[in-house]
Amino acid sequence: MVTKKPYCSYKKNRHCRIRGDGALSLLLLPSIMGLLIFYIVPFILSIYNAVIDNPANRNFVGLQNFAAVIGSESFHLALFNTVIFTGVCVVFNLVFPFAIALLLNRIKVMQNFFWLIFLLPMVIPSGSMVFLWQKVFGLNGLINLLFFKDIPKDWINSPVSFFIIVFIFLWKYAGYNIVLLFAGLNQIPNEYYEYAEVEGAGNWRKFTSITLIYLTPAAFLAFVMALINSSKIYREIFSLAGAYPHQNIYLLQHYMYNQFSAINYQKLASSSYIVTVGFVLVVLCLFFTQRKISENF
Amino acid sequence: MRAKFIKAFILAILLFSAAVFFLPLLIVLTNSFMSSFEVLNRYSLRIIPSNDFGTNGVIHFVEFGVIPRMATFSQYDALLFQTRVYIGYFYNSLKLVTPIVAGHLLIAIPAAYAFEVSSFKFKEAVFFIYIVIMLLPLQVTLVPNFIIAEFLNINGSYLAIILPAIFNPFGVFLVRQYLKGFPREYIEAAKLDGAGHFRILKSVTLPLVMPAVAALTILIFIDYWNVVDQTVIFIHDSTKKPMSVYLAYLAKDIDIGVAFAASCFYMLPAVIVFLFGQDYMVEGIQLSGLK
Repeated sequence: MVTKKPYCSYKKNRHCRIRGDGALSLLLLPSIMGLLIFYIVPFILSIYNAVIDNPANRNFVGLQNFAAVIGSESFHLALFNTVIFTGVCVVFNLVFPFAIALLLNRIKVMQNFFWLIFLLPMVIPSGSMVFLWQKVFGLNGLINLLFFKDIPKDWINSPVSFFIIVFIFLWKYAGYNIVLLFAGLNQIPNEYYEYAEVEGAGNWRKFTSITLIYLTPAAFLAFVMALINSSKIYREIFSLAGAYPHQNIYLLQHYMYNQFSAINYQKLASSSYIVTVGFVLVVLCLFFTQRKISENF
Repeated sequence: MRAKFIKAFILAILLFSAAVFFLPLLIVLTNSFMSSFEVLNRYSLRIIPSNDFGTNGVIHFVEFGVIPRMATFSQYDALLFQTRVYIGYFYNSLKLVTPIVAGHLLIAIPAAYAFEVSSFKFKEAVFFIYIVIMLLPLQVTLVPNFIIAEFLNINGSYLAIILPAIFNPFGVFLVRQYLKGFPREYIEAAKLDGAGHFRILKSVTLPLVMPAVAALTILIFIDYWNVVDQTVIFIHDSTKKPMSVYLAYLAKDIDIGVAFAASCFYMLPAVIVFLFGQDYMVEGIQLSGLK
């Protein structure tokens, strides 16, 4: 994810520079303009909405809107659920793909076949699987048929819904991280293992001292991807449980999208700033942790 | 001998996980060839006289199966030819995703090229902003999207989804990642021959970044084919909703007789794109990571 240095330093190597930067700006301009118009400028301007009381009066209220969002119970619930959900999903989505990638790396047969199977769920639209999941977890579903025939329950609208969503998430996005981690494993030079063997290192030692260490960059990336992908889970929740799901799977997305339908600019702007700051802090922390780890070897 | 045994064991574990991953899809696929009557018999909640086993006296439980009692295209027939509803929603999805993919490629490829060859002093700083926006979760970036849609008065139309999607920084990032491994000498040579940037982009760079373009096309297509969040926020007219959202309603509806065929019909374009471009997609995923 981190940008590499350019192929050659433009300042030092004159010959690298291509004249006619006017044409280059022309190529770049649409993208930058679009980004400014649809993302950056409205985001910055929305600070105005965050500090006024309402669009009609337009009185300056300072940080009151922020305080209102942070103080509201539904925001607490949404934040709490999102943090827990993201944490659980990210852990599962690292451990399971790591195991699969290790096994795949060990035997290296039928690679294309396994890619096909593990990546396929990722391209399947959420809507296409709704009916099936409902018939697995719903009132007359497979789970009830097998275990709770006498007291069947709709598990999608129960406290267990959380784990159902985690399961579906894993089914869908594990393939992405399997590919990433497998590529990471393949990048570790075989010689390292051979040297270790000569030095008399056992399998476990090789695993902890070579595999785990040199996989850190790929694992970090997989971590970030799992983090990003976990914000896409709204699709599954919406498809399965609608816009107002059980409170166990009421996420920040639900909180924010409800403000959209109410067109509450004040809450919308302030909550988006809060989420952005939180998210950027988390990513920065991760980034520096990874730096630290990488520096140590 | 022992090594062979271990290998076989590992393969068995992998095949088992693969089977677990594939089973849900297999059921959806094969069950789409059952008659509506059979689907109703197998999956209906209410006890129906024609099939009363698998009940607890109050409700009827599902009877999952992979092989239809009698294979038929009747679900597809009902879906595609008896009514225009599904075709309509499918068409909505197409109308949404086609301009997004085309526009995204059109904007992202030149921008990625410009980022890579430009000698602009702050280009890495600007690119960093691209990456930050790319990483932000959807619920955050949707807020500026919404504000500008209200401002431009396009809330409620597909444009409110299409325009921000076209300018999403993901494509610029992915293509530039690929360009980094690209031999600079090609550009130099073209330059010496008197080609301008447009010419180099078209005749030199574009043919060489085709794998990245393919990967990008697939990733963008499957992402927006499955668009839900934006639809919930921007599209209020129910006839304009894409298939992704409509199917969620369908599953809770009474029309379960065609549910599997509708699911297959809807996933078909994504699966075809995937099967043709699987290698590119794997490459694209690895590209999004390896520096």
